[in-house]
Amino acid sequence: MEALWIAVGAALAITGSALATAWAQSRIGAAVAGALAEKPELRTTAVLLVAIPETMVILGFVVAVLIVLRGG
Amino acid sequence: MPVGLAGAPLIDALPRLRPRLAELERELAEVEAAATALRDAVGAELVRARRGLHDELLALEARGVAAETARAFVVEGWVPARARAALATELHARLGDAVVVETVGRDHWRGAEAPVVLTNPRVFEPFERLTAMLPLPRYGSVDPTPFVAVFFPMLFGIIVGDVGYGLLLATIAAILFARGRGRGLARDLAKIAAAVASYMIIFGVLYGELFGDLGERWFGMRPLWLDREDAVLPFLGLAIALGLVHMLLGLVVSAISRRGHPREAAGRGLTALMLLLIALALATVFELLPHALFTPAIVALLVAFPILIALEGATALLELLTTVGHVLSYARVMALGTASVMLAVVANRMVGAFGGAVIGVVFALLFHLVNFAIALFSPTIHVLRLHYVEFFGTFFSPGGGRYQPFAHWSPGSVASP
Repeated sequence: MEALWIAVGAALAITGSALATAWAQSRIGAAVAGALAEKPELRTTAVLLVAIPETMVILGFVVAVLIVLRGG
Repeated sequence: MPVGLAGAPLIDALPRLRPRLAELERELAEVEAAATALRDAVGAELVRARRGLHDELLALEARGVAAETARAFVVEGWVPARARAALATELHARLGDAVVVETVGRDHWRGAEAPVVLTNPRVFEPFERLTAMLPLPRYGSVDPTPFVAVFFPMLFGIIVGDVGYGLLLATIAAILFARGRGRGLARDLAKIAAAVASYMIIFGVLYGELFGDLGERWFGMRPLWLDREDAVLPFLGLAIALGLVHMLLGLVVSAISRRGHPREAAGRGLTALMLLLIALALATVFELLPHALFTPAIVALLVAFPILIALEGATALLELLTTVGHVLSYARVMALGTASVMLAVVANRMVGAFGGAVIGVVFALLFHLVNFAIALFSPTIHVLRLHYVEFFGTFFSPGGGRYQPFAHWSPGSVASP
């Protein structure tokens, strides 16, 4: 039973952070696409802006790994 | 549908349209041939004329900003410091003693409007492309290229560390270098790729990885340092430690570059010190260091904190928290690395997973190809981001205009015959 909750906990950790990142990237992606149409020279900044929320899912992944390894 | 066929059903219209299609292709070829003939006949002349007119225009513009009387003139312009002597020699050789070359005192222009040239040793030069993807650093501020040249390939290698993928990338770099005939963007990309590939191979040997666990199964390769398949937590520790070193380096560079402003420099230095103390305290909590160090570290933090507030104001707290967050952000090195090795291992498992051996091998090769593509794209984005957001954030001051020499204009994209 405990193994189940560990798995569920880890899954929740990555699900939540992945959804959060996806939502943030969808908003940023749309805004950046608009900005790029007007100013193509912003492309580096654009890639950066889209990459910024990935920290969330990466930290979620790390937490999930910690839950699995430390809890198991 | 063309006129005359508007009402006809498709089945009747098609056979009547086919001859017209062949005709169109012939017409297209004729037009293209005419265009080529025209280019061969007058193309060179036109390009020369365009160049000449552009030069004329540049000269006219320059005259507009030069001061001129009937007998004398003054021309002012920027030139990189290392090219100044050559310019003076050339001018004297062509015009004799009639011209005087003088350097305007630095105090008058030091600051905003001076254009920027990045100057680095030849080994680091290709990495200027990575720095130049952002706005250039302001005149007189630190050029981060040498740091990028050291850390970009290293972080990449730590993430992808695999002898097999490293050799593949080295091959691509060699092809790119040969194709680009050792010039321009292709050459620089090839050099960066070569640096990345060597770090991939070095860390691949340290991790004992050749296309995932194939090296272990075929050649009995053993991890010399870290087995990434099992040691996930030590790898995480390594990633965070790298982040700590990188951020500390950035803060120290920042403190040194602001030595003219003692207060700011002290603030940056103190931030670095506090970051180190926080890391120390956390290390004792995780029993990496003797517990006796915990209390002194916390006491030192409590002492340093009010001083930092006094130096930099209340926003210093926010900045310190951001810096700690930036260190944690290097966890992505571990996340991407673990994902990369796991995908490679999964690819290898495919050989046994499908019924026939041939199908398994084909699937495994495809999966390795996909993983290789991911292993090139995703670390590039993330390592660049670690530089641009986390590392540059500590010291980088953008806003430099690119130095554009007064020179002959040449058509960059116009195809010359």
